[in-house]
Amino acid sequence: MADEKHPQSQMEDSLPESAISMRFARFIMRNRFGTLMTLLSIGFFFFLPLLNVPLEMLGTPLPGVRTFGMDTRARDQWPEHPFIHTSDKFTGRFGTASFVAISVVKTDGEVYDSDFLEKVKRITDAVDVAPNVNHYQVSSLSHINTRVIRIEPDGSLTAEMLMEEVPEDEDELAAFKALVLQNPLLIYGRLISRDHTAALIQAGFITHRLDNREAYQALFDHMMKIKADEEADGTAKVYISGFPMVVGWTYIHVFEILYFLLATIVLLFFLLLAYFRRLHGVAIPMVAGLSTAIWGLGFTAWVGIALDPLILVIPLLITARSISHTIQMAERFFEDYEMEIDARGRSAGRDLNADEITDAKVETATTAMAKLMLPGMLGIITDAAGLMVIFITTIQLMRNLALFGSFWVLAIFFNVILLHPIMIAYLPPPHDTKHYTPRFMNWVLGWAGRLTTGAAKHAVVGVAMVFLVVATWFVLNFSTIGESRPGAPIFWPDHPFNVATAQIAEKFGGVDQFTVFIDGDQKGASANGAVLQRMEAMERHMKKYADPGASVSLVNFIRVFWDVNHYGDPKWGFVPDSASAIKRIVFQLVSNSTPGALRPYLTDEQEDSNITFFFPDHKGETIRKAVHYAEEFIENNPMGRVSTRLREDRGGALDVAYYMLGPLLFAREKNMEVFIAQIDEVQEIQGYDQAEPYPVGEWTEPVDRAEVEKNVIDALVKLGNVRRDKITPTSHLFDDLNIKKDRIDKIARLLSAKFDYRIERLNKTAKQVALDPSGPWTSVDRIVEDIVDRSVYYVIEEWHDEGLAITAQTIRYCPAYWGYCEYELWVKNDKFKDSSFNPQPTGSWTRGSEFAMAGGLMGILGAVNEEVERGHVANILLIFLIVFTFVGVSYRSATAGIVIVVSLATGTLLSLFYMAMRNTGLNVNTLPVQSVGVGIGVDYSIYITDRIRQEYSWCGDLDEGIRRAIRTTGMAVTFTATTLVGGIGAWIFSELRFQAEMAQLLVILMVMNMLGAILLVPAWFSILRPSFFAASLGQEAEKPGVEAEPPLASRTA
Amino acid sequence: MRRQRRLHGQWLVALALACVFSGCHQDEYVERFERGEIDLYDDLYAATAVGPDHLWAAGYFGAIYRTTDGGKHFTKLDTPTEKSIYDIDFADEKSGWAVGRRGFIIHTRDGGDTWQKQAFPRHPPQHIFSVSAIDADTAWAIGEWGGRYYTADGGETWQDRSFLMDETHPAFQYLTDFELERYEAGEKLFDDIYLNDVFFLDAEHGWMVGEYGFIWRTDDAGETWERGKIQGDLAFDDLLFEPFDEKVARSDWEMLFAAAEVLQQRPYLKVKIEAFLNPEELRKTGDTFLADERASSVQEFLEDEGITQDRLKMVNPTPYDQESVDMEAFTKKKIAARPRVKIEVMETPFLFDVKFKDEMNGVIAGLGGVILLTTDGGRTWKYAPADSYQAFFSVGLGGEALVAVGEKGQARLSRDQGVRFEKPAPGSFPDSFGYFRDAVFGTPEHGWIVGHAGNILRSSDGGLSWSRVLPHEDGVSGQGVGE
Repeated sequence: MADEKHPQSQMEDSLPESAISMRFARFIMRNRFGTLMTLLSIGFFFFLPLLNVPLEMLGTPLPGVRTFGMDTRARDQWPEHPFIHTSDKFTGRFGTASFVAISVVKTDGEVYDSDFLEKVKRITDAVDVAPNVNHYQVSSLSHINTRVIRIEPDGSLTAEMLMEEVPEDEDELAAFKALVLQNPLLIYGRLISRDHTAALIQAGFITHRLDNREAYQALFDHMMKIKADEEADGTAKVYISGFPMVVGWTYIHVFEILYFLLATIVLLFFLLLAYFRRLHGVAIPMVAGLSTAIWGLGFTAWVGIALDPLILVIPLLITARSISHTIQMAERFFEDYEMEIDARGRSAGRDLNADEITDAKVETATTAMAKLMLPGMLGIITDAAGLMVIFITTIQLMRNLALFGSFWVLAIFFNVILLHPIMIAYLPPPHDTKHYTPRFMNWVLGWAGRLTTGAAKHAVVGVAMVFLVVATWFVLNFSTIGESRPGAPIFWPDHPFNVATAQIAEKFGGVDQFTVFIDGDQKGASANGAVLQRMEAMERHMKKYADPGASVSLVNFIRVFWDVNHYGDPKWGFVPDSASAIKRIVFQLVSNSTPGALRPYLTDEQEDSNITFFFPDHKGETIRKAVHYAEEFIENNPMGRVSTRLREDRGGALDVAYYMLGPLLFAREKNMEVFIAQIDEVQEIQGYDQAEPYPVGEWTEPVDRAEVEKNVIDALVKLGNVRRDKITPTSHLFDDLNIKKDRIDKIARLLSAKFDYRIERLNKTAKQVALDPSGPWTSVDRIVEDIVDRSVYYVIEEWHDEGLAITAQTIRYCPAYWGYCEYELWVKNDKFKDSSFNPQPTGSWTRGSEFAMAGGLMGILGAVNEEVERGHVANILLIFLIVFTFVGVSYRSATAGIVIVVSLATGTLLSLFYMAMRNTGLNVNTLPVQSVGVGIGVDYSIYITDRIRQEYSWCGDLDEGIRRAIRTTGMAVTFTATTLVGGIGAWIFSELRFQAEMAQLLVILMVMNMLGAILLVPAWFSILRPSFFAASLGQEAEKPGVEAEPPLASRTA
Repeated sequence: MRRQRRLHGQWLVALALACVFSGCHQDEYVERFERGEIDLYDDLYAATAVGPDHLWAAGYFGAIYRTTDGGKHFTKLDTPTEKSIYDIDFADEKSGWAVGRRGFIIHTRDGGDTWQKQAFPRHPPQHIFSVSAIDADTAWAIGEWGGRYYTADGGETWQDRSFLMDETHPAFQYLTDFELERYEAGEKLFDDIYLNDVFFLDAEHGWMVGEYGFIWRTDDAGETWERGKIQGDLAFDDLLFEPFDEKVARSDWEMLFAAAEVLQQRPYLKVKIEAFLNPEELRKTGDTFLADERASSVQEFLEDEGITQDRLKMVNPTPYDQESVDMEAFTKKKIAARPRVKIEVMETPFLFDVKFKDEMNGVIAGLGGVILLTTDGGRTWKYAPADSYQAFFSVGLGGEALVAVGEKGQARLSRDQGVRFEKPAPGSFPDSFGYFRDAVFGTPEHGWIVGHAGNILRSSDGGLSWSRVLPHEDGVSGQGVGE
């Protein structure tokens, strides 16, 4: 029966009033003012952080309100991975990571030309005055740092500048060329290319000063000016590469994103206008999109996330999704509104008056909302779940995206499903009740309906299955993980930066670095013959199997130095065994070089060193090979007298769960392994014995609070230069006691070393903890509290050796199965000055030195690629599982779930197939796209499935129901897809490959999923004829007034 | 080898089953090199050739490359070390030794297919720089710290015949208290000299060279060794000073200019500067510092003319700590009838390589472009002009030419038994800027030169022309281009 307040719709396909969705729709529409006000209030709450942006610029930010911000941080793009932890540990220890390489290529002939060498000198001089340059780290033919070491006939050594003056005549040029050729390691092949056509200038920059946009911009502009000036005469090309240049280019292109945003909005506006051809059709989706965006952006600010402009295409897509849902709502409204007006007009036998039209409008908006409640909700929830699945990665950027992206999607429910009918109710009724549908699309969709319900449906399904099988086989065998092309991944291969990088790689043997660290346990640990000889063996192993273009380490310098110190006899070009000889050599090298010259290879205290391999590219395969052979060598060549490490308990069924959900589960159990070297009489390691740690399984007792307080105050007095009577428990260290930062660092280290307080964290030194502004080191009370808290931990196992004076513990700071609480290795070495327990961030500790993987661009990408591989597989499988569950439960039909999942799988695998065919690597950019793409695809399929169900319930013929669904909802799906493709299609042309590839893959996925929804899903249903459709028929049969005549046939045939 | 996957197959199995596909692809990394192939081109320090086709070249990181077909194919032999091999010598096609760092000795009786480690007779082990195989059982080896070793039983036992210090040694007076204690306790004190090369023409006749111009010869199978002498052709007149004058007289400037010029031309030479004063000067001044001033004046003059300080050795300067010195004896040594400064040439070049064509005629290569020749079995040696300041590491004795090679790819050829050494004719010697460390001939016609980064050159015309056989230009490992 019709409600008195809400007359029963005159349409034949109305839902029963008792349906939950209908009751909910009526409730919302009945309380539409209150709902609108609530939504606006929430919207305002989310708008506040956006409002704070201009206010903050004006210097009057709203108190207590966070400010929306955009920022890009490289570390957020890296996963939690042992390689990254190692990289973090060694960051800054080997001097600057900010190098610029400039290749000056002569357009014709060899570089031994006075004018050209003059040009190289000019560029070098210009580089030497670049902003924030480290003069000691400039190398070039003409720079004072570049010297030729000669052994004089009497055995003495001289070190003269390679090119003090530019050679002028042919004799001088020939002598210069001979000199270059006689110095193959550091000059020929490094500063002059092997084909003699290019010269290389390198410069290091003071990293901590390159921490803001202005600094990068100034450096970038300086470099580009050098390029422009020196290329002007046409005799040479200048190619500039290096991390600061990447940042400079990125800043330029990030601003271009604004143009793309504008283009997208304009494009969407015109697409909506072209389709709906009325204000409602344009204004309502745009308002819905805007309000959803406000919710989403506001949320990111309130939860403290800075939006990374590099992934802006995803939020944009989510906003477009809100428009897409609005289109579904609007499409349904206009469709039903036309019917409603017709039906009421027929019923009244006259034209409707204004009140009747308004009433019909509200009623239609209500019923449309009720009808789309289930598919809309299902679509939104699967979208959100799809994004939430990205949370299983350990890449912070992706986790942030998962968090705010899924909220943003959920916001669609409020800003579209609820807001749309309310807006309809408050806006004047559309003048034109005739719903416009393009004739061509009617024809296409009619054909699609016939195709999927006729005899050809088997062919549709068959062809799709063949595609699926072939695509799956191809993807599994030929997909590339990681980069498939050289250069910076965020730019296109023909981008000036990548062209420059490729040129330098070609001329000078590669710029992509893979760094293996040598982690020493004390001062001088790495300046040791045995360690250096293992390093050399590793370099050889890598050259033999992984084929790097070149490698650089301290070994090269030691060998050359030892050789020249023995009358230049090549037989002495080896790494001496004796530690004292090495120390002498290092001392000589340090004394005779410019300050910091050895720092890229050896830390100042000679504790840690590294080997850097230069590869010509950072393709996934190259990285995997490098990682494989490096790991193989390390495993077969342990170093150090004692080695302890935590090894994860692998194998068994839990592997599956950890692979899929790792970061969401509790930390996986780890056991301590201890190896003790067997040393022969000449102090060489012959093998290792394994020692057994013993289980403890006890919580420690907290330290005495009063004693801690006394010790902390004593330390503050002793090292902080504070009078004891000034110190109170609540005194602020900086504000009240005026303790300097370097003092705080010393105090923290003293308390840690002297009293063995566990101030350090697994990934933070005592200094970092003490100087963390949001950490506990603000007042005496908080410090004491933190120390007491940290003294309570669960000791799982322990190993102690009296003779070796080492104690190692595996501990946790929370109970087992308490979320992601890491197993930590703490080691105490009584032979050290600091004989307290110290945490080991790499999960291993060695007396002496050990290899630690891995740094450099390739080390980082190695970690990223592993995570990307796991992320893609886990994401796709999980999202399919979620879709199957949601759809299956919603329609109480496993068949529905399977059909939709198979359709999505076909779209997904075909998109991956396309990428594999194009040799585009799966990377961190494509990871979220798969999730979002599946989310969109499932929307289409759900809307179609639901419409089939509804149409079938009213017409009683499944095939006819399918044809009607394709003609109606198929139209909305097609339009939605084309709108989205149009909206983000422009991004394919972005100069940032990161953005463009995301957009490209999304476009492919959307088209694939659209085709799946209007062809494959209906064809499957037509063949399988699942029973849940019949169940809906049973429900509808009870509804009064059901007509056998298909209600839409007359309109759309 | 560990297996690698393109995608994690194990988790895609579920998907794969659903899609009915053929199975996950897994691939392995294939070893780039097979056993016996040259994987990295190591620096080569030494070579030994037997006949026209057999060559063994040894070098860095335990590398030994062998060809038995004149350089068409090379094989990398398995050796039980990663240490540098400094020298290799074969008595015939089957039996030979290789020696190297830290007393490393290996021996083969099957042409290098298998090697056996042999015990080094000294502790701690010292580097062995050279070995000379006389026959399958007999060999001599030499090295650092006066190392001189001999075997007559195929290396089962090596006798330590190293040079030792005793009271007659000129450096004995400089021993530390600790060393003296050891000496007095009967311990061996080894002489601190580097011997770089040993060459035995036959069981009786052998020669050794090393630093400080050390040359030894034996003609009684090593029972006794005699020092060879380098006969320099350069001598300077004494510079005479007027009484109490400190500075070099203007009239002597011309002579000093000329001395500096000739020293510039022969950079391997060093000079001793010793100054004297007359009795009257000593009586009036009461000390010998005036002589030191004169010596310094000459030293500064030569330094101003570009002779580096380390080539100028001041002899008998007045000691600062005069209490511990017999000053009377010292002063006597500084007295001469006329005040003067004596400039004496030191023949102490650093020598790398020695080879003999027969019992009388031999050649030595050394630092600073030094080539020495002898025609009297090594008793006396004379410099041969080679127009080079750069080190020669080795000389090969070819049937048609002597071939000297050294640092930075330099080479000199002599077709007249060393009277004149000249640069090779264009095209007759490959361009190189890395060093060549050894030159040997298996027959008078067939010679080999080995050097940096696996470079091996070959000559088939008695040393007149050379071509590179390794590394092959197209980079194919182990593939030579010999005849």
